[in-house]
This record gives sequence, C-alpha cells and structure tokens, in this order.
Amino acid sequence: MSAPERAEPICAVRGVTKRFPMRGGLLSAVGLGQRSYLYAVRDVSLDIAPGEIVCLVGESGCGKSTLGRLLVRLEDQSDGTITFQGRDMREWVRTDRLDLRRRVQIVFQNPFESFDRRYSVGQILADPLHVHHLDGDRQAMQAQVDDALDKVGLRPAADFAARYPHELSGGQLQRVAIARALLLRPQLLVADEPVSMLDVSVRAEIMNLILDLHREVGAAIVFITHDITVARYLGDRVVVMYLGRIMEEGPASEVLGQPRHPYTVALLQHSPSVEPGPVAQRQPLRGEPVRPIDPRPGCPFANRCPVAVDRCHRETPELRSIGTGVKAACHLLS
Amino acid sequence: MADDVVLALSGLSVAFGTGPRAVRAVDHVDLEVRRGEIIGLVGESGSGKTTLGLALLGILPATAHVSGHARLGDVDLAALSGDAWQAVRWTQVAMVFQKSLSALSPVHRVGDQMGDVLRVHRRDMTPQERRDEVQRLLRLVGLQEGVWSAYPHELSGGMMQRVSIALSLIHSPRLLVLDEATTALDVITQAQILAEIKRLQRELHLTAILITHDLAVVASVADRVAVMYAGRLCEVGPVTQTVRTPHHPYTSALRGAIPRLDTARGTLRGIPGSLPDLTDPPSGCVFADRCPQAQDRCRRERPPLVPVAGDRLAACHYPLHAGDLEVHPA
Repeated sequence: MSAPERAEPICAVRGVTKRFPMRGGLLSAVGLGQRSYLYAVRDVSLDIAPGEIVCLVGESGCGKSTLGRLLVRLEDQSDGTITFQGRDMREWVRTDRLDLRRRVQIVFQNPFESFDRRYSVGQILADPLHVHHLDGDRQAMQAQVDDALDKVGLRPAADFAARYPHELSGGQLQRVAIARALLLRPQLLVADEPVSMLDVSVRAEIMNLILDLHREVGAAIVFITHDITVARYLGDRVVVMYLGRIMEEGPASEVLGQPRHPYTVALLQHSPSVEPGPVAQRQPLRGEPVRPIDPRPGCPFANRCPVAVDRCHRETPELRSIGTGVKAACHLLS
Repeated sequence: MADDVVLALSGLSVAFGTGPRAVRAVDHVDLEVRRGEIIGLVGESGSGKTTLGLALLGILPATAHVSGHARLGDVDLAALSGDAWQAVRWTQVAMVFQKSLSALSPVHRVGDQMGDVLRVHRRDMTPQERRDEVQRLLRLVGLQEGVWSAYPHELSGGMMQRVSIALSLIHSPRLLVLDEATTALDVITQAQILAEIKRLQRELHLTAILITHDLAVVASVADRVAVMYAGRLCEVGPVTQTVRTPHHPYTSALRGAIPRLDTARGTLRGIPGSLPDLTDPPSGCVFADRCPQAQDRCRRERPPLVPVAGDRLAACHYPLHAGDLEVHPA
C-alpha cells in the first residue's frame, strides 16, 4: 500500500481540529454545566506539495474556509499541528510573524470588502512592500507596483494605480487582490472562493489568470470552492470535505472523474451541468447536514448516506488509501 | 394572443430616472410564456433580468418608468398602478426571492404568517379551514406538518425556500416568478428544490419564469431559455438546442466561459470587455463591442429578435449555426 512518490510537502497538516465555543446558557455562564463546541474542522491531516494546486471542495459549513484560515494563521487550531517548510507554524508566527506572512498569503471571496477604500490602488499595493521593508527607493517601488498591476492585466498600470477601489469592478478588484497577494512572492497562496461572487464571463478570466501566475510564480495554491467544476478545472488535487472532515482526497481526475466515496458521488450527481439532457440517475438523499456541535462518533455523512450500514453510525471511518493515489474515509471502501 | 400563452411581453421597457441620464435597464423585450412551461431567464449582473421580474410584480422602485405591454390574460401589467396591483399580485402572479428568510417576520410562527397571506384574499375561510389549507400547501412542497408551528430561524435554507414556494402558490397564481430562488443554497439542496419545482410543474401545470445567472440551473430544469444581455433579449429557444448549439454569439461565449468536468485546464474563455453604458446604449447591437464576429452593420443597426429556425429566435445579424467554427477567440 505504498503511496505514489510525492515531493516533500511544503505544508503538512496533522490531526488538526478547530472548535469554536458556542455561546452558552445560564449554567455555563456561572461555570456549571457542560460547555458546547462547534467543530468546524475535525482531525484533518493533509500534505501540500510545493507548487501544486489543491482544491478544497464542499458545501457551506464543511470547514473548508476555516481550514484555509488556519493555513494563513488567521485562526489557531485547537488540536494538532501544522508545519510549513518543516517549521511549526504556530511557533513561527509567534517568533517572526512578518517572515511567515511574507511566505503565506490569502485572497478573500468578497473583493468589495478586501480593501480600505481611502487608499488608491497604488498605495494598497505599496503597503506590503513598506511593511516588509522591500520598498527600496521610490522609483524601484513604483516599478514593482506597476509590474504587479501589469501582470494581473490591469493596463495601463499607471492609470489603475491612481484609481480608488470604488472605481473598479468586482473582477478588477479581485485582480488587485491577487496582485497584492503575489507581490511578496509567497510560497503558499490560499484563495478562498475568489471567483464565486463574480459574473461567469469574468470568472473564467480570473481562473485563467490564477493559472498563468501559478505557472510563473510557482507557489502552492490552496483553492477553496463549492463548485466541483471549478475544482476540476484548476486542481491538481482535490480534497472533499463534509462537516469538518475529509471524505475523499486525491488527484482531481480520480476523485471527480471516478468518485468512490458516497458523498463525492452525491455531490457530482446533484451538481447542475450546462450539458443539458436527462438528469443523471440520482440516489435521493435524505435530510440535511447537522451542525457539528459536540459530535458523536460515526461518519458525519451517515444520516444522509444512501448506503450507510450500522457501523457507520457508531464508528468514525479513518481516512485511508484506497489506491491510485486516492484516500477515502468510508467503512465500505477498502 | 394564442390560447396557450399565459404572459405576452411586447416592447416591454424599464428605465430608471429621466432625461439624458436615464438608464434603460430593460429595453424593448418581446417574449411569450406558454402555459405549463418553465422558461429560464438567464443573464449576468446588469442584464436587467431581475428588473424585468420586479416589473411583472409591480414592485419596482418609484424612480422606474415602465413602458410597452405585459399581458397576463386580459390584464396589462405594464399599465397597472397603485391599488390595481392588489387584485393581481399573488393571485395572478407571485414571486419567490433568493433570501426568503428576510421576507418573513422572525417573531411569528410560519403557519400563522401563511394563514395571514391566505386571509387577505380568502375572507370566507374559517381559521380551521385556513389551517388545513396551509398544511396542505406545506405537504405539497415536501415539508412536514411540524413546520406549521416553527419560527423562521428554526428552518434551514432549503426548508425556507420550500416555505417560500408554498407561500407563492397560496392563491394558485397563473404565473410564478422565481428570482435566483436556489442561488444561496448548497448544491444538493439546490438539486432537491429544483426537482421539487419540476414536480410541481407536472402536478399543477405550473407556469414559471426562472430568473438566474446560472446557465447550468436553466439547462437542468427549464423547457425554454431566454438569454438577456444589457437589457435586451439576445436569444430565445428550447433549452437543449439553445445551450448545445447557440445561435447568438453571446450565448455561445457564455457557454464557453462555464467549466464542465471535462474542460481541459487553460481552455476556458472569458468574455473580454464590459457592459455598454446603459445611459447611452449603442445604436447597433449591445454585444457588438465584445463580439468576436461583429461587422460594421452590427455597430449601426440594432438586430431585431427574429426566428432563425423552427422555434428558435435570435437577435443577431449573423447568427451562428451548428458546425460553424469555434467563435471564441484563441
């Protein structure tokens, strides 16, 4: 059961859990009773290889965004470790926050809320250079900013540098966000649903831009999306999450081409397609996801799974290799 | 008007503001919606699809100016004003919105609120009859009777959309307008709601306009599709043929911008450029500036929406045909 040869990971997530305390009732306020927790990410282990594009896919509440925020240290895990370039991230951020920030960057979903509207695009892009003391003289900095704008297709750069966020469209703002994130030449970029608020015609351009820049910069990218077609288009590898856990992961062509986990199968069967025709035969799913508050053992998908057996409700399946580079967490797969 | 036409739009326009700065959000739209069909109205932001939907319910802001005709049976919706709408809204035409949770009061039970809506037009019913009718509607959209006594915050997004659909059906309207009704939902829930809409279409012979930005949603539930761009209709036709072999370059470009599971990396094509200024729309085709095949004539003359073949209409001087070269620029 040897896994295919993979490069030393640039980022290694090991047994990571993130839980958020729920606002308690009267009893917990006075220190009595049990405090409740929402488990956003549960016992996740994941390797990210240098320069690969990993797509985290899942529905809302599956923990994909929380995992992304853990990777850029906007959150701290409750359990487990995350190492980056062989060093413990939690330790790194404590001793040299600036150094880690330069290597790990993020692009958010909502471009309209990603910028301080009082600053021009030029000032927005110059800011990280100041913070990281990479600005050099005025001319050199200007050249870097113009170059960054040019790379993301905002031309002529000098025109765009002088504009303010409210003067740009959503797609243009997302280009600025990408330029800002890549200006410091990070080794890991987390992109949290960066195209889901954009129009279809703009979405394709931004995805292609990300691919072009990826080829040039070579950073590893963790791309978070709810859309499996986007994951298939961009991802070298796909990680399917459900209620905080990884259900299936592996090469994009395997996981989305020949899904094996019942949840991945359901996700594919229920996604609308522009290819019209008879809707694929679906196994109807019962119920809706339960919020993972103080979860009990068992597969999180068991209550909706069309093929669940008794054991699925009692025992949490481990994520294990099922061949062709794919790992799945399901008792019925081996 | 043919017998099976429920709604006939002719030259329907909606402008915001007046004078030279007026924005023509909907610009001379002609469209017939037939009894028992689901027609998908698809477009990107700024296409005017939502404005058109709001016009059909008379809930546009006061700055909007509606002209042209929108005949629903013997009523012209475009000519209604103020109180006259009361007799039409919900009984003749009803709407389901994207975020239905915000449409309901958080402090009253779902069943009571639905009962209130019922009472407006059905004063003759007793409280028990109302309650029975609301329960029947809840079952109709696949909800359990327990939802009657729930408060809106206790329901999931999918359940709320079902309540919203039940509400819209309360007075058996001739036409239902669904505005991005499944957009905020997760894919699996979305598929369940779309299947529910399809079932209601069969069982109740529902006539519906499904407004969405998502061509894939239209492809999976609509019978016909109407593609809108910059306030105008560019293509109308049966959904399968239209999506598979579009006649209008915009439909084709839109299709080419959406990834599928077999789209090879790097081959997706966006649509360069942006919407024209709707305060000063071009005299020719609104898509000419972004169209890879535009000719001089396209910039001069506005193409009318005319039949291209069979049941398919397109507003293009040089419509595409199956077998034409790929229209997306390399």
